[in-house]
Amino acid sequence: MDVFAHLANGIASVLSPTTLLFLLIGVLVGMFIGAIPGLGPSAGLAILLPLTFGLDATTAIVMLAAVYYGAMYGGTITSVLINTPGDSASVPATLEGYPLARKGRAIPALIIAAVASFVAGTVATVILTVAAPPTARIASSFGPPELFLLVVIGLLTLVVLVGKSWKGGLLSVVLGFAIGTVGIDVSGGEQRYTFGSTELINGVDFIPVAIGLFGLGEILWTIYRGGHRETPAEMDLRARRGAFWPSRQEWREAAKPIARGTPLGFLLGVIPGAGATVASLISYSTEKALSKRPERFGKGAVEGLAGPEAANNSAATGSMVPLLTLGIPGSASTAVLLGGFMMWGLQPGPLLMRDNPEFAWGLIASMYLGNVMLLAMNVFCIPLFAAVTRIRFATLAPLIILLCAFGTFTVNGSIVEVGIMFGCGVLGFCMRLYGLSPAATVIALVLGPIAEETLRQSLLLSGGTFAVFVERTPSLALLGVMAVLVIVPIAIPAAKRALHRRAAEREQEGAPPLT
Amino acid sequence: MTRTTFTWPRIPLQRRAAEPTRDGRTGAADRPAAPARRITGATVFYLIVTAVLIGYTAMAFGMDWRTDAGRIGPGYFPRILGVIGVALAALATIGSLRPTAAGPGEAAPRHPWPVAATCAGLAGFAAVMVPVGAIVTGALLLTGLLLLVDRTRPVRAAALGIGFPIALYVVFDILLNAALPSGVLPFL
Repeated sequence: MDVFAHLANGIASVLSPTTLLFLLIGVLVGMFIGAIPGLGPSAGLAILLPLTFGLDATTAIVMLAAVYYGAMYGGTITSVLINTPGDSASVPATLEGYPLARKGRAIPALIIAAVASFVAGTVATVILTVAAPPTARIASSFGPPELFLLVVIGLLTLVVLVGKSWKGGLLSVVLGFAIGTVGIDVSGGEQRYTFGSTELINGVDFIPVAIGLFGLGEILWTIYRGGHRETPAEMDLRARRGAFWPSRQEWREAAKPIARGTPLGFLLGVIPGAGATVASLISYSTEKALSKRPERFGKGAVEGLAGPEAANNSAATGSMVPLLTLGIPGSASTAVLLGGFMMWGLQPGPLLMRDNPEFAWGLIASMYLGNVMLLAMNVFCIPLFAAVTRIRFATLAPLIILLCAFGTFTVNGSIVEVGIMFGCGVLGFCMRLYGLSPAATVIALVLGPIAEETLRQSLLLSGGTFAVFVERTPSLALLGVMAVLVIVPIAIPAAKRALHRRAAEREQEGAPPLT
Repeated sequence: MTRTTFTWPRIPLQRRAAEPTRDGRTGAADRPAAPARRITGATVFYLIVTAVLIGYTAMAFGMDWRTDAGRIGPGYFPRILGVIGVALAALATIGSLRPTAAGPGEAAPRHPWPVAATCAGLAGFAAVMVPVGAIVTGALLLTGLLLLVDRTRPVRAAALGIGFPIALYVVFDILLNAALPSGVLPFL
């Protein structure tokens, strides 16, 4: 019962008034950030990172993690009330939640979403509690070849998930890798791409890049789209006067999708590169496919709201598994969290749970408490958040830009980093404009140095031959996963085309169509 | 009160959304079968990325592929990245020349000038923040940005523009002990 002893210690470590206060602040700010359209969890985390200076590591990470899963809850509020998703993972909530709100079921829809998020978040945290220690033990047996292959799998997943514009995804990854090569080469001590600047000797800091690409880039993009001219839509909370709680029928309709969405989301969250958006969309498709009345989807189907909500919150927790046990971020948000870990001198990976148990278990314990807080706030403070989201973007955007600038400067007291942040903001804006992925760049920036180091170590072990990647069973298994990732996206469309062709040929021949 | 409307001049290379003609058609459907390729904002962006990556790759080829001891040299990774990056960026540049290759946001541009003005303001901010100080430059930037995005409330812009940088200064410099430059304000 080692796990429960560790968890009890973790709970004890977060039960201090200070940590609880920052946990509460984290969930509140997270919900607020999630509710602002155009400012997702990764942007919020990046902007808030410098504000956690002065806190001890556990309190700071507990607060940042609370912002992360708070934002996952918050994204649903605007989806349901004003038909605008707070982030991409909340798109299914828009498709089903808003029609429910138009039927006068806004509050019951938000309660169903909150309960789905709570159940999924809590169950996923239980799975994380049980799964993290053995995963860390397995991961500790991984050598550099396996870690290198894991990083490649993460990046490959990112590229594959981009779909048709995989070249854009790959270019985004290359840009992140390239930024990661700036600074001293760890093996030989040679300076790369520093142009004689002492500020760049230690490389390009992760925080200005993340704040620029996510925070400033998002703001510029929203201004470009005309977000500063928009006035917040009226929120439809009429149902407050009528039914507050969902009906028994609605609970029944939500139960199975939540049960399905939770494990699905967790599994997709664990896969580096997949994450909450993919989990949410797959859950929505699954629910629609399984429904006996799929024609209700898009018109306010409770299943289409509950399943994806469960899946995206479960995925957010699931993405903590590779972060805590392998030191590999599964999503853009966990990449920013990883930046936070490093800011406090903590190295996530197989040894984190062994060397810093109070921190690791404190973080896991805080997720139980955070989920309870979020449920209570979501159920009873909906009008408050509805009011908060009426603040105009034209007012918020300049404030956030200044916060980004001051926050970046305070990290290392460097104006060069402020310049890098602004440069990355413009880059992030252009990437959004022309269909590239800033998230892939940030993840690649984190994973790039790990990939280079583990590749170097692997080749050092093998005397320069790539045979080291096929000599061990775990490496072979990971190569198999890579092969699947490469072959499946090519094979499935090819198979579909072949089937369509065959069906068309049979139709021309006058034969009955294939079923 | 009459309201004067002002139309921002069109930025060169900016892609315009298909506009309806007098007879109501968008014009896109009336295009000839093989329209001429043209340079767009995406082309310029990808050309810049290609140029940067070419420079990156050229520098990578100036670094060692292998060290004298036979280990991976500092140029190993950058050379691989550079070659792949240049190839991808070149492909993207060519792709952007196709008439249909508008990016997701490029097809309907709305407010490029506020974005350009914000970028200019940020460049100015970075240039003078250290000598002038965080509060003064922050106040100027914030007031300017607030007026840029909403000119109807100058008093609120001025109040927020002065109050918010001071509040942030207090939070960072005093509460979090993370120093910000005081600049020309001697009493800080």
